[in-house]
Amino acid sequence: MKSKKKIWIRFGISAAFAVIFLLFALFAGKFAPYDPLETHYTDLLKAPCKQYLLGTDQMGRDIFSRILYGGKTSLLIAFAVTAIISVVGILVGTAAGFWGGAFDAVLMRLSDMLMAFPGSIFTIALVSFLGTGLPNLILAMTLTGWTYYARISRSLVLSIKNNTYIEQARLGGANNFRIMTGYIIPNVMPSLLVNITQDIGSKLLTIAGLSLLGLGSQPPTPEWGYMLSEGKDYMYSAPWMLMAPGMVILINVIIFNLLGDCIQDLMNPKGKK
Amino acid sequence: MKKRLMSLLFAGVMACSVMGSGVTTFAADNDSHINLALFTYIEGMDPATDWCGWNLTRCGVGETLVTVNENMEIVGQLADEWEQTDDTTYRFHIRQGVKFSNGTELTPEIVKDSIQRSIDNNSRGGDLKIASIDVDGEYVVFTTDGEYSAFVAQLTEPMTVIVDTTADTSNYDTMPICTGPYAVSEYVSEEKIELVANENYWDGAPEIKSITVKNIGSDTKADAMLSGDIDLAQGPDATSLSRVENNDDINIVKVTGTRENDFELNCREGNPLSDKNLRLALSYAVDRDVVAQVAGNGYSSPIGTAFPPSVGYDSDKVTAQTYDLDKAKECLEAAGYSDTDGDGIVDKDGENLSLTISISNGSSTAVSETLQDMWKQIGVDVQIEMLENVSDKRAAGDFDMLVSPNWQTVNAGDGQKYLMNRWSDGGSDNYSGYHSDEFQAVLDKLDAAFTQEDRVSAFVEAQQVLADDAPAIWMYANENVTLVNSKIENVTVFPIDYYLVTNKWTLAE
Repeated sequence: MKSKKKIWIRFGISAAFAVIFLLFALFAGKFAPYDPLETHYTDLLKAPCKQYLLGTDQMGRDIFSRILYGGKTSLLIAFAVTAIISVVGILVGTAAGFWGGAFDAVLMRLSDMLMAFPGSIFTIALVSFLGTGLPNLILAMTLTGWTYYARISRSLVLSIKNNTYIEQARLGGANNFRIMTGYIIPNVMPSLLVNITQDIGSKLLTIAGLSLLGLGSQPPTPEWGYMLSEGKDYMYSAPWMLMAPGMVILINVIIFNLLGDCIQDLMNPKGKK
Repeated sequence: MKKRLMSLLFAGVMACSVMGSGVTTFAADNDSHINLALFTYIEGMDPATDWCGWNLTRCGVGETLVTVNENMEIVGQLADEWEQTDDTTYRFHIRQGVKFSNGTELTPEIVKDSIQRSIDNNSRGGDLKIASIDVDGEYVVFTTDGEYSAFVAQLTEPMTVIVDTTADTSNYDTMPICTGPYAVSEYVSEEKIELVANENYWDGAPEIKSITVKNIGSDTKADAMLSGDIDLAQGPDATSLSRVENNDDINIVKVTGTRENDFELNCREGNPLSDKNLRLALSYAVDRDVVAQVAGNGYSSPIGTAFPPSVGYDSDKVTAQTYDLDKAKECLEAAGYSDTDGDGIVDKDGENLSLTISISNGSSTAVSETLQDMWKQIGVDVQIEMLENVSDKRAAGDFDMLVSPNWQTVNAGDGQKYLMNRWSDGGSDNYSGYHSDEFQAVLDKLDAAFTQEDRVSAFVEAQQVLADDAPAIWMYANENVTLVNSKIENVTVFPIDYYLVTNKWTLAE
């Protein structure tokens, strides 16, 4: 069994890293030595050096600055999307589980329809239909992402809905709204917190993947996935173009997955999964 | 324990598959065999179909009456003499003693039937403007439909490759019988073409007895050379060349190509780019040296005219736009644009100037982003729009600027077709909607120019009109790069990329 102390240490470390990355993303302007769109035509494809910490790309733009600003785009969108889909999904799922009946049936059939399509492919199809660009990307990802949380929160609600403390609260005079917000949701949230944290990593990968295909952010906006797509043409002449965004995506996804893992350990210290 | 065993087994399987994938072919036991990759791998081998003739000339399988050599001169191939006897009549003497790969003798009758076959079946057959073909002893006589100064050059077009029409032509889309140094022995769709030396070849059978032509994408040609998968690659991506630059076994042979890269501008009424001054402003604001560097990483040269210098149409006599920010700003003002609200973007009538570059999804946006950055310097806001399908917008004229990459300027050894297709009224590729009476007049001059001298001076005029009007911004021409393994010698590299294999190649001892 993992000791409580070790779990807290792991949690602390991953949370610290997550916060650091978030800070870098939010305050990219303060940390970035160059404007991410600033070109230096005499310094094309330069290897990492003192002047350019992570080297330059095919237009002489500083990669370190682009990574920082790219984080702004990638991380913040991942957060935004995850926030929207979890809130919407939890509300819908809780309502469906709580009230049941026709309401539940309609909502669940709707989510069944959306879940019938393989996730990424549906997102890609939606983006092709709506057009490229970040707002459409967010729209496409939220349209498909909420179903997961709806399903899970619904089943969680169904499992606790008939517990005695809910009965007692009802006897005590609590109305439906009070029961939902005061009892049901607080009991549903902790389990979902793990999923939400890990989902950030997954959304990050989706955004990067779509941008790699050219369906996400549009040039010249720096974004990790798009930088990967630009870098692949220079894989041998300027490998730093690929390695920087690749490593940063890898590290971020690991951190958030680890964070979710730690939260799970914290909630179930005896290893009950 | 079991888990350990399973993971070891898994690792072992992975290792084996990785090793296995490196060895895709082993060299044929016959020494004189090589593998190669063509500029583009076209499906189909029948010259009467689409562009498949280009496959035949690249593979050294098919030959035409006349061809263009490495010095861009028209020389005889299956014809050894020719003359124009009157305004619309040409006599070609067919080389004697030429045999097809199946042993059949080449006769003027077969030449006539073969060319007629191409005209009848190929959608571009009408380009030859042939009214009739006749045979007169050892001569084939062509009569054109009206005066056609580019006629002889048109006969270099690979769709006129001569095939043996007396044999069974039913399988000619995979294994045509032709006169070239090599013949097709096997054809696997989308995978490879097996060639064997034609021992009947009129100019001497080639030393290398067999060649396998593989379907390899331009981005992986350099890798395929390094792994030994192929011994020669035509047209690898410029960005992959750094891997082979210092390799002793691989020679990088370059010749400036005849293709050009430009941005096409929408000249139609209603679009801001219909104003010539705006187009000129954009052209002056482009630093073509930088663009060439970004685009080709050392394997592209900047150009400012419709034809690259390699084509031999005296492009240096043309005054085109060079990098001049002051002139650019002057032209912008002449077009009525200035930054009245101080937001960094020029405007006119209260509206900021914003243009869109339309580019297809898979293409590299490096050049577009560079131009976007350069035009920001003069206050023009440019957006880049990545589309699934550019051709619809292009056909509808619904765009501002289009990326036009790698356009072949000397189809059939002569540039008139290129000018007509892209810039004349009703041209099949005139997407910009460009119209100029002056330009049409120069095209008429070309029609009447029968000597190379007259043609070159007409081409100079055409380039000047286009440079003055700037319906497109010409930026760079890519080098024709061919990677050659040092064991192959006597490889000639042609500026026109639909020529490659010859009978002169030898293997070093």
